[in-house]
Amino acid sequence: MTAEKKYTIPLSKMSVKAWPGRTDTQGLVSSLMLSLAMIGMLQFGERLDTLFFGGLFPVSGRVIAFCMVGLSTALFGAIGGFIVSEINPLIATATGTSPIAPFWLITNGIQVIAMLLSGAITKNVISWRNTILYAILASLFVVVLYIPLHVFYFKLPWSKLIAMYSFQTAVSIPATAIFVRGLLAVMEKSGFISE
Amino acid sequence: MANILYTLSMQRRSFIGDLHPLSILSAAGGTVVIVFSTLNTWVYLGLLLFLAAVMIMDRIPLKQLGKMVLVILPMCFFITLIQVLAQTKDPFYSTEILGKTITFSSYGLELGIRISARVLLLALPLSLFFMIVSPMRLTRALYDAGIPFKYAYLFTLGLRFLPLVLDEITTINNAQKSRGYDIDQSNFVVKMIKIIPVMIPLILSLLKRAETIALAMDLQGFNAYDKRSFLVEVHKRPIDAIIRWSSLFTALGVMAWAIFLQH
Repeated sequence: MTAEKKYTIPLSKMSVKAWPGRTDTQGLVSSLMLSLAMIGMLQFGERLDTLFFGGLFPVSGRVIAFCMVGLSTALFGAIGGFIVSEINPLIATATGTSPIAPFWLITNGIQVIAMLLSGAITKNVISWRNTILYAILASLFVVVLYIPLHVFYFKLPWSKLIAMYSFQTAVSIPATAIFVRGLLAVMEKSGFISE
Repeated sequence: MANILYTLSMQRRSFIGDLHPLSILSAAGGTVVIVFSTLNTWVYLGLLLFLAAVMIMDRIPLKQLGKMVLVILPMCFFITLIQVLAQTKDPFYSTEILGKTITFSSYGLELGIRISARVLLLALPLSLFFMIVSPMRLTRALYDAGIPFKYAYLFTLGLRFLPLVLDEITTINNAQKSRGYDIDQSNFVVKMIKIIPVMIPLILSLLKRAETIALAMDLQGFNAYDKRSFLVEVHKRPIDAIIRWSSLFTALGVMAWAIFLQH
């Protein structure tokens, strides 16, 4: 009988602790590259979100952000995750991509915590249990953070928006879980994972 | 856009651009606090004039502002629409759709317009900050503020590599098109799902490229020493202290006025 292989955060160097994760030049530059890939991918996602609700209730952008932040945290640990989560809003603010971009500093940051938590609970990052738990935690955290934004910034009646929050969560949980699991499997096959 | 921003901020020298980056950031932060504190028309008009003066003084191209307004417009439309339909105060029109009465509120319309102005005024100062401040000066200021160089430099590095990454996306997209996988022909919803065959090669090629870049940086002594020298000098002048304190007091003053007097 062979024991199941356990994958821990950071996957690119599992001998290092998840917090702070990899802080060497390669870890930092790789995380930066992932954050730029996220910006590139969001070009597709944000168009769809803008078309439907003017970017007020992002769905596809949210799934892409969950995937990229989750992937970077899993690969490079907390610092790598925070680089991906924080560089994107800074560049989006600088380029005027979205008026709510500064708020993403918080909503993206919480996704790193979600991946670290789910990784610590499930103790095996490349597993369906982990990716599903991550998707649930990230979706819940982000919805909870979006409510004050809608109430204080946009003065929207949040109780009337529950249907929208439910729709966002219903799409983001399965999509994120499937995409993150797929991306992690690709990383494993491509040799980016090491002890 | 990132490319333009990078070249713009690297080349331009101006009175505002020569201020300490953290002073400009405190002014932008003060503006954000004021915008959040109130929805008063006169305050917003004052802020708009202040930001217009900054743009004129720093010779920021109006084209950039136009692009930003275009991005904000759809969100402003939806905010106003939701307010008009969700608010019940002062209805000016009502109709029945599928047996349900829908009212349009004039109070909601006014609130929607005010919040749209808020969205614009919140987006403007932060974007202006990044247009005015050179990334190298920002890195230096962050380093002086105690942030390790390897983290302070990341934003500059991000702006430097963003155009390359966007080019890489175009290349991969074209490669997939030559194999008959054209995501540009799909509608918006299908495009979201069809993005995966672009996403995976992009991530893999960027991670491989990161190895080479990191090696090159290490070979050139990136982060080799704790204390490092800089080509760019950033000094605090008396005007910086004036800007920081006046930003703080103005923001606190407007906040107090909004809390205690306006209501």
